[in-house]
Amino acid sequence: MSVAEDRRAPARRPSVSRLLGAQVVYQLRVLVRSPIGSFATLVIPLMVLLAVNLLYRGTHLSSRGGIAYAQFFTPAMVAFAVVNACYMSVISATSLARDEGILKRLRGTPLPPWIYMTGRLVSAGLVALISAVVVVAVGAGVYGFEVVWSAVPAALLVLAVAMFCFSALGLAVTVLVPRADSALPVAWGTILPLCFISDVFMPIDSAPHWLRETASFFPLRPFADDLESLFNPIQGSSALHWQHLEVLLIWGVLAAAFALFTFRWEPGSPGSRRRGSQPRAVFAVNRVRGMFERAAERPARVRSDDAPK
Amino acid sequence: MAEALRWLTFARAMTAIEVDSLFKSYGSVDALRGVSFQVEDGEVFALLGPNGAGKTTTLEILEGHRRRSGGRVSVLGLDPELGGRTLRERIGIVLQSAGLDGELSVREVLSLYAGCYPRALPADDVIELVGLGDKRGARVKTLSGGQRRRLDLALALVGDPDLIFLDEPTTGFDPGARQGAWRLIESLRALGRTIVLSSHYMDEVQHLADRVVVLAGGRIVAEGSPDMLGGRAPHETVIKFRLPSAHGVAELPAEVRDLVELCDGELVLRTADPTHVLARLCNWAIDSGLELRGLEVVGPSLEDIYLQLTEADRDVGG
Repeated sequence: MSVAEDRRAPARRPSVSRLLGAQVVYQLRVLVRSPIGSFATLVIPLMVLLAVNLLYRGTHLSSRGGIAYAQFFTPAMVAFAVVNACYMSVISATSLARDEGILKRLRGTPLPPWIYMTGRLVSAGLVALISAVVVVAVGAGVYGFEVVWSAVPAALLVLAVAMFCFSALGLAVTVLVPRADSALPVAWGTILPLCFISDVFMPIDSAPHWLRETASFFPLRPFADDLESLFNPIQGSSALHWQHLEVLLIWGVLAAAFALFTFRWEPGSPGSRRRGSQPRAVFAVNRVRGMFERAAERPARVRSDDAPK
Repeated sequence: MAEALRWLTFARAMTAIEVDSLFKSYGSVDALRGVSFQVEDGEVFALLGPNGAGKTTTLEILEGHRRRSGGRVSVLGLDPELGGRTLRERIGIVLQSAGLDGELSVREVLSLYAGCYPRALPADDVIELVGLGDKRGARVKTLSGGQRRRLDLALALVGDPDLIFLDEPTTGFDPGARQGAWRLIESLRALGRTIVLSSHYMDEVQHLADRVVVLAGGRIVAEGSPDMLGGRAPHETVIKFRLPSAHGVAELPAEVRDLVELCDGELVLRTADPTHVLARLCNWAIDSGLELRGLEVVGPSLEDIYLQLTEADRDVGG
């Protein structure tokens, strides 16, 4: 074939499902082919699960109706696995792709930005699901974690909302991360303190009231608490805490909106020369205005003052 | 049929790109200071200039990668800041540097990008077109610099664009690959595709471009066909020669002596009146019984013109 044939097929836009599917396959393929990425995503939560259970084997939690430690810690590690696969991986993979100029190249194609971002959310969610299943399997097989089957449907709903929330937060934080080499310090620096006060690495049942209240404001504690209570066969219930889901949804929607409007496709730190002297807020406002103008002028045409004389 | 012909004639006469008083500043630095030009449909248009002249800034504003600070821009009838998906479906971009996922194969990358366009060419055909047929299954990280550049070109072509932006498209190519890229660009022109390229290579611009704009310091300092640019140069012909070591410049006839410069052991002079100056020089040499070794008379190359046109800018910048 040569371009000289010039048989131009009629233009037909690829459907959203096809574009999204291709993005998800692409993201998963890149992850699977990078051994360190897959290792960090799947193995870190398992290592913490094994190490902590070795320390606390045989202990029971009187504050939670006397359940075995593994019955608390396995759901806690499922929460950690989701945070690891969504929040951490999205920040490091997206900022790396931005530094390498992959995002800039993609921005030059007709791929809509929101499809790229949704592709990130869906692929991170799938990886998180696999990671969660592995954690539950090891917890049940090695430490006698008891799966409360009646709670599984509710747990899946909580997982889905949490995956959306933490992936969206990952995209939002990526906007604020200057370069890929600061991605992991920022990711761990924000999530580790939360893990300690959010019933993830240890129960904070005896912690001061204000600390628990503070933790409940952030999305991790409501998420971990929900999972732990769903799988507590003594004290828990299979009923959902809707206000917990609300906290996750609010964080997720705000993060997704922030990411969509301020996302950076070019390498360079947030204050770089790309936007010139425009302050960030002005830039964001202009971005939103641009979107409205585009929507109003579909199909997009030259602005009237740009019309050829 | 007549209707179709009339439409075709109309389409041919359309302007692909219009740029009027384009300004761009990065903070207090003015990168573009009132640049205006037009690119006609089906034309190969080149931007030429030293580093920092504003070539990439201009291209990236046209591509929709950057916002302008002022002026009017229309690309295929759309404002690149607002054209979004509609515009990007019709343009192909080779950036000066852009990343690729090293772990994907050549074919996987092309299929991924092809999938974004409504009118994509088959990935395998485009791979053949840029001469990467034997690298189809190779991971991107194993490609050489020149092969990666060819993949860049393939990614710009896979959406079958009407307008193609090439920011230094053959940098890093070996001579054979560059000839191949030139042939490809020529065949794209033969199909009526519009091509806007920037280049450091004078021979490339001279070979490919219908029209060239020379940028320096964010302004256009010259515009025309690559051949026409020669007419604008203040000095037109270069005469080079050497004197035997026993003779000095002081012995040359006055008219010649005033023009001559010593350059790498060679005497070089530039003149708009070469017949006269050459006659004086040769008469003097014959009368003195001398042989002028290395005597050379050359018309100015695009490179000479380019250097002269951008001299002021480099003096300021350097």
